[in-house]
Amino acid sequence: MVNKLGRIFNPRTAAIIGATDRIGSVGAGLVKNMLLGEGERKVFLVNPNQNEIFGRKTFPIITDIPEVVDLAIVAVPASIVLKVVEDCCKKKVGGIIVISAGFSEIGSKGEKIQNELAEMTCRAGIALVGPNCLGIINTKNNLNASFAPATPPKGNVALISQSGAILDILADKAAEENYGISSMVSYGNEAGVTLTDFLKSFAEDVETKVIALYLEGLKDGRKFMEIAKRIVSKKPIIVIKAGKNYEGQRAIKSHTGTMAGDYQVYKSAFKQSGVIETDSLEELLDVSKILALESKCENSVAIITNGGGCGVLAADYCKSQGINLAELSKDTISRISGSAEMPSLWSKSNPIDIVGDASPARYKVAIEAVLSQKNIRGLIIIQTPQIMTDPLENAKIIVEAKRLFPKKPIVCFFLGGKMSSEAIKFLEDNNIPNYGELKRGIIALRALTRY
Amino acid sequence: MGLINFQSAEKILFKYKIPICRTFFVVSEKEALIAAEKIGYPVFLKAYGKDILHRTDIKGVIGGINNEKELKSSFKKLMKKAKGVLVQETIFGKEIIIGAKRDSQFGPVVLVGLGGIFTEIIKDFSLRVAPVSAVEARLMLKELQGYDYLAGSRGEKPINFKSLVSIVVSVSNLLIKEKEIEEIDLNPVIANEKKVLAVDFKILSYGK
Repeated sequence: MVNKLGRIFNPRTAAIIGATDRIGSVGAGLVKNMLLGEGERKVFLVNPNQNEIFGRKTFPIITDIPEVVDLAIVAVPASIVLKVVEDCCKKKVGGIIVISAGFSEIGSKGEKIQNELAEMTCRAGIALVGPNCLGIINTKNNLNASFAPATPPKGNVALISQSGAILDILADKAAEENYGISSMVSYGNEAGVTLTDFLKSFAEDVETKVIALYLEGLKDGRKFMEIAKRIVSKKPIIVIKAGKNYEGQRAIKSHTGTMAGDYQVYKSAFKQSGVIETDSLEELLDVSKILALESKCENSVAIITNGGGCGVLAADYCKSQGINLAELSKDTISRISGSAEMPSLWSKSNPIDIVGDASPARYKVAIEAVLSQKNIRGLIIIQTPQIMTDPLENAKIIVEAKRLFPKKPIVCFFLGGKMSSEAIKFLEDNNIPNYGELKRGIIALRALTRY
Repeated sequence: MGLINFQSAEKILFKYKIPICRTFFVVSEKEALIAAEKIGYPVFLKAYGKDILHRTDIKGVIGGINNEKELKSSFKKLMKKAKGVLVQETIFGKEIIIGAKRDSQFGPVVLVGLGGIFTEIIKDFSLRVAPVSAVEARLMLKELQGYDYLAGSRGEKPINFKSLVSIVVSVSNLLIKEKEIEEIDLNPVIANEKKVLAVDFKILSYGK
């Protein structure tokens, strides 16, 4: 990541001001997370009241550190933030993250201090993230400059959130469900670096393929639209907007005034700038995952299943999402029917039901035949766990098929639970998205066929 | 914020080439008769005053007036409720609403939807952050659930989409250029295969 955020996201040295070992404190959380990446950078702890933290020597003030400091992370009470940031400016640090709360979010008194903070860093030419934020994470270089409870696995989705707590959830969920993340940012009160600065920076970031955003409100709607429009031609932006209340209290003077409520306007703005809107945090991650792993395709897909019911359900969801099911060509049908592996009662139409007792060999025949049909641009593969099913072998066949047809996205549904967990891990380790629920994955697939 | 008067509103719409149905503002019976003569029967009479925001709430609209006698009695009724009356030509067609307002976050936004009962109950409308181009305005119309109703079904001819699109674009331009105007409602706009005319309109401005 180049530009003014470079030293914040890629620091060679970092200092935590307000570092402590007090259990349950923000300072201790920061120290713990920052030390995870110690192999990649030097971490200095600053605390004037404690000589040692976790057995490490501390510095009473940042200016005492005998080296250049790229990133300063500030977690001290709001009342002394100005003093501490002044020291950081004297030290000529590369960038500052102010975690501390107690600024514009508490009213005019806090806003005044925040303005001074912004002015001071602006004058010094130092990038300021926050205040009132959780911090940032860059998985590529093991930087966790936040007090999030977990570090997500490496991947290609950049998550930006107005809320710190939402980022906590997403970090933990990503770690649990193996969602690959490039960076995470909680942007707080935007006194210095703004949401649009982060968007621009992730647009340039080679590790990031998809930008996912949790939003409550914007500071400059038109600027957001202008920048988002430019970015989505290169990489998708997915958003979840919280606070969808209408302007209900307003006196009803005109119909336009009543109908064009705040959220309605946001919705239009997203649509006009090509930003994909989602309805839940889960959907935000689901859609981001598919866009990070697969390339977009024309709207014409096939479904292969070893369970008739799931095939019908999937077809229903496709219809309601506007995803078109391709017709099987005569060639494809005769190719599948001609295989010794296939029983004569397979469905011969899309959804392609290869019957409950389907062996891996039967999946292979169907998958290869279907992907060979030119006008089938994407594939949904459903596996219901039956006693004769071999999930890991099926997963290997799918990974091989993907290698042969790299441009055709494959979305898997290895349904059930424990029986397929190893196979699912194998799929995802090989960059093939799997979803545990048909509707979730098909909503995600829609983003691929329309983006 | 206040409602601007009929004459000023008419002037602004004229400036942006937004067609309105033939309408005269009158305060006497004699003026009303002359206006109706010019327009040609049947006509509509509507109570008019700066303080009247929702005319139907006070039963301030009388339509289907076919002759002088009916005009005189209707005029009397309405003058009990208002300081003036609009005499208006009768146009048949489909009701549409076109509006614009200034959003606190995104600035001017434009709306088009199905009018009349559809506005109130079904809320079938589409919205854009202004400015909108003619192409975008077309997309807005296609997004409406009731698009097929406007396009005509069962052999019915479509409404004049070209005129409708140009009104949407004009309303968008109007709000972008006229900084003192806060909100505008053209409701209903009546559209048929030949023409599209604003029948009622409200313009709210800052200050006044």
